[in-house]
Amino acid sequence: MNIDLIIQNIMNPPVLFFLLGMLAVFLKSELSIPQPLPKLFSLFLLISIGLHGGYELSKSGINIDVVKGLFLAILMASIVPIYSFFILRMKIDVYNAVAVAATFGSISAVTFITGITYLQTIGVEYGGYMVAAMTLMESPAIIIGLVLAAIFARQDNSNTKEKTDWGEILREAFLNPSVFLLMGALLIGIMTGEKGWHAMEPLFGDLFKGILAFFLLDMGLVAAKRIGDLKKVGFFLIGYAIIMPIFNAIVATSLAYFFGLSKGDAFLLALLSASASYIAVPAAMRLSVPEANPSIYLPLSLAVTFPFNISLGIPLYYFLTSLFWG
Amino acid sequence: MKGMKKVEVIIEAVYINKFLAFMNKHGVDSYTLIKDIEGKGGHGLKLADDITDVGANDYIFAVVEEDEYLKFKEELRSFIKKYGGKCFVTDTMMLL
Repeated sequence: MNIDLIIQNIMNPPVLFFLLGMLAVFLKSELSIPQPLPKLFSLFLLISIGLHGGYELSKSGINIDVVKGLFLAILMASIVPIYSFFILRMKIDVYNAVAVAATFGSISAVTFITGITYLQTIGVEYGGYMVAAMTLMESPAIIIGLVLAAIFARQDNSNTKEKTDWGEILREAFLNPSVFLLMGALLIGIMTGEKGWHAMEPLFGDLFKGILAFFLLDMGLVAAKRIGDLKKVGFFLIGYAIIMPIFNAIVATSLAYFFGLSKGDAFLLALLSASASYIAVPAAMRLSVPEANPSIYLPLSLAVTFPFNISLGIPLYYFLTSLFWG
Repeated sequence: MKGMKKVEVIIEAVYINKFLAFMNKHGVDSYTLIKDIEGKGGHGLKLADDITDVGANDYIFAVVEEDEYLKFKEELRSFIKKYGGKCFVTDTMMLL
């Protein structure tokens, strides 16, 4: 892999702010961002990416490429938690295997947003429908995780007579704040098209990179604080949190090539498949699989996979797609 | 004068709706809730400044008549045992 790709990614101001946040914790600086600002930034980024994706989708319309891309997104979001679960079961118990598999089967919107910024920096085009693909990839892992729990965990423990509250789980999977807001912003973007986007651009377009830098600064602080939790996790799972994303990216890139997606879209699909959730799925797992230990699945996603993807994963997955597309 | 109990619970934020539903089911519909509390306990330092709600804690207290409390005491114990957290029950008196 060309070292220039890594440097090009790391020299992106938002990524540097992420590293700065981590450095602040390592050097025991008192730096902190007052709450609830990071939550506001996260909402801003979701609206921005949803609106822009909707606008792009309104220009391109629904064509066969869009259908193929969305199909692959759902396919990846469905198969990753299944094969992950069986790999994890070799070393850890059913509950934790379900929670880790679901966490890694879902996606990280901020990783996706950073990937888009990278594509914009190097001038590679991507389809606006990939925002819809990202939204579709959030939820299946939650459902599949719970189905796996229902089959394997409840079977193991016949004393557990408690019924699964599917209403609550489905609401959490499909109406959790990120999915709801992303989908809403995407629809608004489609409905209002170019006129709507130009009206919103001064806030949601021009300030995008600055807010992303601010948000990633906070993510750096949060990720670095979680590194201590990794002591309890063990080498197998830490290795899993790096190797599995790369494997998922290879599977996604191969499928994207086979189905004839464009290079930019294939890269984003690989990045989404390689990313892990640290908001929606951990919350859903905590709610529905309380037996699983959040000190395992959360630091893996937040302190290993997220920093890896942001710094090295993005250029690595781009390199992968370049091997296929040239 | 009726005996009163003050039930104080520290629970993960993701379970707060479940807990409120549980209390409501047992006729406790008045409570005070403080979100995103910080502190240190058996699971180490818990901070409120996290982007993910997993690990964030909420504090809730309610005052109930002792007879009512005794009716759901064991279910409350099971709830806390299942979802984690801390529960303190003390005798109390309502002045106003």
